Amino acid sequence: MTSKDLRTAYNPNYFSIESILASQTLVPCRTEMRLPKFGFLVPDCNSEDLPVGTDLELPIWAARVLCRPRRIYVSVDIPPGFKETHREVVEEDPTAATVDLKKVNVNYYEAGHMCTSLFHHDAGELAEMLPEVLQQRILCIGSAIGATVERNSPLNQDRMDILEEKLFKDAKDCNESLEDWLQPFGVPPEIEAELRRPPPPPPSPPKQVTHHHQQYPHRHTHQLPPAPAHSQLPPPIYGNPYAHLQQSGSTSPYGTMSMSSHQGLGMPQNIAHQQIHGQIQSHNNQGQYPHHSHNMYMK
Amino acid sequence: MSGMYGEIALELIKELDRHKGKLPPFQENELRQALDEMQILFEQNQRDVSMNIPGNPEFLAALHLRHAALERNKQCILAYLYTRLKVITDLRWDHGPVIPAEVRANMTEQEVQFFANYNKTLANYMGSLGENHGLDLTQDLKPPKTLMVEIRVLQDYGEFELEDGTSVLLKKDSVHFLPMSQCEALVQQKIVEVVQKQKSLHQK
Repeated sequence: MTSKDLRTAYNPNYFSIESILASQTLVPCRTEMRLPKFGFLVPDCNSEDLPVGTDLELPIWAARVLCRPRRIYVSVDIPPGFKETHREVVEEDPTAATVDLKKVNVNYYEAGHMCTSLFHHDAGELAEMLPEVLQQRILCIGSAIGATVERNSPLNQDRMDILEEKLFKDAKDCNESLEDWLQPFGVPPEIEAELRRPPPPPPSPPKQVTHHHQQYPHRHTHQLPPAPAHSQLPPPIYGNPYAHLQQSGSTSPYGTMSMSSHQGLGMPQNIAHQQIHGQIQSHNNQGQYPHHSHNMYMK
Repeated sequence: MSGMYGEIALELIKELDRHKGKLPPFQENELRQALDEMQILFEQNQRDVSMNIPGNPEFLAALHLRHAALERNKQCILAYLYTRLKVITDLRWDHGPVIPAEVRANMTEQEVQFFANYNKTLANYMGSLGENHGLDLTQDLKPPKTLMVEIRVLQDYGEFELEDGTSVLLKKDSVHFLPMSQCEALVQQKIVEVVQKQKSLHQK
């Protein structure tokens, strides 16, 4: 296999088979006006046109086009697996044994990510939930590398989605490589212990993740603290369907997310920034660097 | 027409997904049907556009849907062709310059041509390396740990001549001790396998 190319790159791309399959996820829709020549979409509709208020299911790629802020031909609903009731179950405890992401969608995160671009009032909440869930599950999956996996734990590969499977496999391979690399050198045990991950904690949910800024004092111990929320997935790239609502005074579904993620780091960063800035200024005042160089070129 | 647009093109993608990393037979029929569907969609859109100059929103819906379906079909078809070509280039690195017959049977004329061109380009490049000696980049894809390696023969191969003139008889299930550089190609073709050292030694 050649190096990482377009197919295996993390970010979905135009040629990605998985991404194409994910965008085939069916979205429940309802027609908002009489739609001529849409009759063929519903099996038991005998006329050529679809009347108002017909329920039908469209794949995401079609629903995205027919339901937009300025042209609503059909109204969309969030696909069943990403609906509020199901979201609550997953959010409650992402690492619980009852959570079966694969059953919802083989490509859970990507399909969910695509759903966040739907023009629906729940899309923002979904966008906030997905990175959180991924983060908590990945922490749990990552700490279980090398440990025996119980049948019903979330670490069972049957319940992971494609992205998690990939990360799990990569983590396992890396762990093996580390073992192989450490072996011939006869590394002293205390250094080896440092290089190795800490022993896996029991796969109970790391619920304290939401208060991540309190975790920083642990940074220098061997126990790895959970990563802060803002280091996870990049913000959704599919444009914000609520952009026009913001202008009319409604709150953005994305606004709260960016606020909370920076609270923990806000102060120290500001101070450091001011200090650096001050140094540069004072340096400029004392030194005559610009003056010198100017003269040099003049000669 | 029944069912949603783009279903046929999606079949192509599903077929690839079922055979991950392998090369299923080229589905020319499905590809043609998908292209025909695109042709029909395009013509319908052309007709509707010329009929509805004022822009009736009801008809625009169909227009939007068809356009999205066109793009969708295009993406599926391109992804299908692209992924196949990727598999074919990987073949060069896994199996060497000759494609196994059973894989070749699944390739189209153009894909065979592509493989030949890729082969030529790669050979030219490798020949230009290393001060006129050339360098086989497909060897040692994983860094070798030792010069000599113990191998087990997986299928009857017959006489295998080494660079120093001696030859060994590769019979199924026999074990040999050979220079790594010379049996690399055999390993890639799955004729022999490297006997793994006991890994459990350092598993605590």
